[in-house]
Amino acid sequence: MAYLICPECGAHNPPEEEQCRICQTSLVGMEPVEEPAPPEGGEEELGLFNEEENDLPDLLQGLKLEDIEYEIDPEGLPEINLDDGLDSGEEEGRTPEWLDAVRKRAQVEDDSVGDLIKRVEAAQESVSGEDQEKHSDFESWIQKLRDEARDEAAGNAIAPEEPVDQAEPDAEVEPSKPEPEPTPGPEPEPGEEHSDWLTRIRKAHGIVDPEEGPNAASRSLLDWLVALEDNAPGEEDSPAIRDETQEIETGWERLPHEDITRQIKVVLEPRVTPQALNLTREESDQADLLSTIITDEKADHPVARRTYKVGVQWLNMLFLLILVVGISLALFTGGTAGLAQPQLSTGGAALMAWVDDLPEDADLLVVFDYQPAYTSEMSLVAEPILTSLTGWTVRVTVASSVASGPLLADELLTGAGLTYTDIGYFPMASYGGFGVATGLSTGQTAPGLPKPAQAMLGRGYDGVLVLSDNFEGAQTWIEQITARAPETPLGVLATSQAAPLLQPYFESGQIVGVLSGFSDAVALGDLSDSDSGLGPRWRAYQVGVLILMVALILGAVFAPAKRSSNRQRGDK
Amino acid sequence: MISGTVVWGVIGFLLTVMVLSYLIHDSLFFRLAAYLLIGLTAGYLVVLLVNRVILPHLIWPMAEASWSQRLWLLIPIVLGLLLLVGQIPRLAQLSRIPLAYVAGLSAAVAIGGAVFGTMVPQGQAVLEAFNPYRIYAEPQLVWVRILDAGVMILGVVGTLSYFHFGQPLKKINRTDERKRPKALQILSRIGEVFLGLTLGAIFAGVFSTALLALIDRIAVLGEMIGQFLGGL
Repeated sequence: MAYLICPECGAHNPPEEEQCRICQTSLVGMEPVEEPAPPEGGEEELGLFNEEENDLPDLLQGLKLEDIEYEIDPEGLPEINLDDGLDSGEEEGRTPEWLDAVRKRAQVEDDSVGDLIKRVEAAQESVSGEDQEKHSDFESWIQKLRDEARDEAAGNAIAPEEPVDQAEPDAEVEPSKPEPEPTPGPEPEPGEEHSDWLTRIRKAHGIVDPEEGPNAASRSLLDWLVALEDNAPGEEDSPAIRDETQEIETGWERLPHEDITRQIKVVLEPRVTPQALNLTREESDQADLLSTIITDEKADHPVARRTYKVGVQWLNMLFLLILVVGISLALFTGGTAGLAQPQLSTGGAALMAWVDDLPEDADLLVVFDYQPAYTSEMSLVAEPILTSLTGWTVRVTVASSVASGPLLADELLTGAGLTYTDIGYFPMASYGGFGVATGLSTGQTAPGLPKPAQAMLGRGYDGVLVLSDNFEGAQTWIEQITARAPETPLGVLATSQAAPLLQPYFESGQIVGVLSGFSDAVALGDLSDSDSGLGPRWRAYQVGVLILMVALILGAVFAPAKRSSNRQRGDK
Repeated sequence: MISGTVVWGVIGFLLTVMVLSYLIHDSLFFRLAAYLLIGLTAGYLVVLLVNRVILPHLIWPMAEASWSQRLWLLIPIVLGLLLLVGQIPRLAQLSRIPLAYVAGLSAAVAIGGAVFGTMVPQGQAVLEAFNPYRIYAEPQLVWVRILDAGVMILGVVGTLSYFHFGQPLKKINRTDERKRPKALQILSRIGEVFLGLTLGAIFAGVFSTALLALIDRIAVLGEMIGQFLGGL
């Protein structure tokens, strides 16, 4: 098909026209130009593209090459009235179908942006050889869009099926200038034209022009698409508005500036926009954990009450019954003979030997450091010593480091027929031991002290006996006396539970002897050949020990099995 | 006529049963017995402190002593008054003086006793075990003495290695545990054995003492019941 090209504006006119339909320039004498026929098999050479699709930008072509599923309808592209949208703002937020396709793909794929970048890079590489030619196609498409827009504005639309001379794109003249006699200016470069409309679109969407940045050369249309996607309506970054001053035009611009303008303070409501957070998986997990903890902390936690299993209660009841019945039978029936006779410990023998070596007028300090609950055992342990002292002219002085000490001293010593002097109760054993040891070491006190203090401090003793039911109490007295008065003999009468840890003090020679426990008491009774009446208790003691040993063995046998069964249940 | 012995015997029997009921359940009876014990102990302690400490060691000497002796007695009186005045919120700072005095004195006395009454003598005892005169004092027991000394030093070193006092005060995890020297790990295992034996001996002693207390209670109750039945 032949047509005439306007020498002024470059518009295509039918061959019969004498004047340009656009600029009314005379076309007389102009030779019609034949439209070049499309090459045969052109579609096959370009692959899947048809004639209209050749105008697609490289990005869209690349997308189409990669995945036919995201084929973009080229019909929608010319419908974008970019200028109208920019001017009126009515089309703000309206996106073309091809952009919808891109967004759709972004929603489907995990990393749509990265994938798009890869696809575009691949497309750029694949079409690099044809880049210049396709850019020309794209420019012609853009030009056609502009022509249509202007024709619509002028009520003189150009048939969309009118072919575009791709061979002479430079011949088209910019018709948008409203000058009555348009003067063909310098032909804009393709790149400039591209950046012109793109810049306006970016401005309309509030996107920073990538060409203004340092990497402008490396940016492409994809960057704009991605930025457009990221800056969708409603997600635009809005500065926190505060108080701003706007200059409002009132139409009085011709008046002096001082008279027509005034500053009006406009308070704009701040637009709250959600902040985009980029969280790593670890940060997300930690946030979830923190949220869980906070939720758990805020939840109601009922007070856990101790629960008793019925089976355990009956087991305890059975154990108590067996123990009480066994001990009672051993106590109140049978003879006085025990199952086995105990041997006197080395410490007990040493203490008895030391007591035997005391002079008859010895001055002894007896320290009471045991609780009333252990009166029975302590009485049995102390009885051989007190029996040895009975009849002597010993002077016994009593000190207490437990509250019940004075009462216990009265019961024990008075019951043994001994008289004693009580020098007081020491709430802290270390202070009492320190005071006694200081008096033992110096033999004198500071001048002017009250008489009770002088009586306690300024006195020497031939020996010290500590009666204690626990290791800590006995240790305090041993430490203070052996540290300050190591030459003073120190003996200990203790319960069975305190004896093991007191053994090193006897081995090291810090104490002359330690008599401890029921077994030592029974052994001393046997040695003295006196009828102390300990036989039934010794037999009951052995029965009780036997029952406890059986209970311990049963517990050791069955408790691990129970734990393992619980663990298996937990694993299941 | 019911005698006082029977009354106290019945009270003792009931209290014993109430305490033993804890073996079955933490019941009201056990709590009642515990509250009774705590209340009686507190009351007894107050009376004891007044009669055995404050009156004979502070009040009576103050009345009888000379002026120089009264100056000595003034020190505990002032410290005691500061402790009482410190209960007033505005004067709470004053109570720190007697408390600081007591804390400092207690620490000094306790540390001095621990060092010169336990650490030094016990260390000397360990070294004494290797004294040749002691080892060869009885020729027939030489190897026994050597074995005794070896076990003793092994127990001391192993126990100290178990607690690993040379470890810096920081969070110890399994990685740090692996970083410990191999010899230290072996000695630590040996220390565990000695600690286990010691704790086992203490456990047996506690059992023995508790059992003897139970036997005494049963014996007293049995004798009381026997007397009661015989008296009927």
